Amino acid sequence: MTASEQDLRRVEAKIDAVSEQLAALVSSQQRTHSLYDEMAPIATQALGVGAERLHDLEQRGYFDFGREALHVVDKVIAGYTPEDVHELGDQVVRILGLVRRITQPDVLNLAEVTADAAQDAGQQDPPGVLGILKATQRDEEVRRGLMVVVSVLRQIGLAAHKSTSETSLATINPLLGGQRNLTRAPAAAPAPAPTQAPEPVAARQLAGVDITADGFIERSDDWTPAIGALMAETLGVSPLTDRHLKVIDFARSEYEQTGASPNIRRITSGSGVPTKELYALFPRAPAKTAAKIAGIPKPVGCI
Amino acid sequence: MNVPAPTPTRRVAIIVSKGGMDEVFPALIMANGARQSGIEAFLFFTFYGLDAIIDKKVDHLHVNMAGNPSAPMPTIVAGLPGMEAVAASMMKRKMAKLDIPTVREMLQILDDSGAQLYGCELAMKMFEVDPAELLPQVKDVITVGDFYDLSEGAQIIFT
Repeated sequence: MTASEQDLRRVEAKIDAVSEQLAALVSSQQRTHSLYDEMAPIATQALGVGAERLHDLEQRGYFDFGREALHVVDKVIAGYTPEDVHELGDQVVRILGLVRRITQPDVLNLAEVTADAAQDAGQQDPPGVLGILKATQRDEEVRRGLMVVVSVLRQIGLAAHKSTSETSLATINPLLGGQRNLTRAPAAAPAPAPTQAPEPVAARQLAGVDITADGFIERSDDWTPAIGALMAETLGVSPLTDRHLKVIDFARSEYEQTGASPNIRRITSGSGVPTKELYALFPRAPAKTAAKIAGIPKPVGCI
Repeated sequence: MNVPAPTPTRRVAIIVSKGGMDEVFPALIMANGARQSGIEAFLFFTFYGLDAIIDKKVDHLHVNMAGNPSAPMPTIVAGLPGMEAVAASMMKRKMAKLDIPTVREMLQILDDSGAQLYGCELAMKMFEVDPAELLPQVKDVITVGDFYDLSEGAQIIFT
């Protein structure tokens, strides 16, 4: 074998190898091609269906809805300050919890049933007073429903009471004024810390002793003769004479014995100070004024 | 002596025109309650209400049960003679038990507390009542016009 022959064989062998690879390449290319051929109509169809589906959605108002939703988002952004959003962030966990609870199947069922019932009731003639009364008396389910409503109302009442006691009226009134502010009410409510007490409470103190809203000393144990004298001065009953003190001592001892503040009749019959003098000693309401000075609760009763 | 901050004085004028014990008493209690709350009180006794300020009659006011749907007995029983006296004595006993003063005492308390009691001049003429027959707590016998003048600005309660 000559050298040139050997070279030629080597070249042939290489070509063979390459041609094998080429064949594989070509066949793979063919497979891809046929796949494409097969896929193309399907893809076209799919695209068509997609477009149709989108068109359908458009027809059904989804995009209008989306556009409107965008407006809403715009309004929300314009209407809320960064602080609002920050406060909202603090509440997100609670809100999510609320959403989760609302979307429980039970609750949704209840809502559905309620809506159905409301629709049904709307189609019926309204019952008379007697009909309602009968329903509340005879129908056990109605009674149960009433009980549920009552307990819900009670919870709402409790919550409202709590939130008003946490904030002074002064902060709530402006909140009720504008709708814009109303949205902040729940977040703003817990803001005033107990240390930053509402003004009326702060003003209701006399020498460090708590005074009730209608001017009586909160705890009768806080009372000292000095506090009594101070109270008398603020009520315009000063100086306290022996006759004043006689009434006050009697009122205190009566309260300690019976647990109730004496009314005017009890004071006159018990202390020996006659009605006329009592009215002179404590002008305006004598029993109430004496109770305020004596550091005992407001007397009750009509006589 | 300093006086508390001047607040507008409230006043009530109570006109007592009926003489049943159950009709006089509420009026007196309302007036007394007003005084206890620092409200000025004026009482004007007219028509049968005059009985409450006549010395001879004040301790014998009766309670009429006949025709009273709240009476604890049927009207036919309540209408029997003497029934109103029985009812009155029952009511008096109950009130004594609760330490509620009698009408006479109540009028004294009212006078002491600064309430003002007046008799109606016209009614006194009609029923031929002499001013000397009235209780000492009655301040004066006056006309309606006088009473309105005296009690100017008062809220009026008519019983």
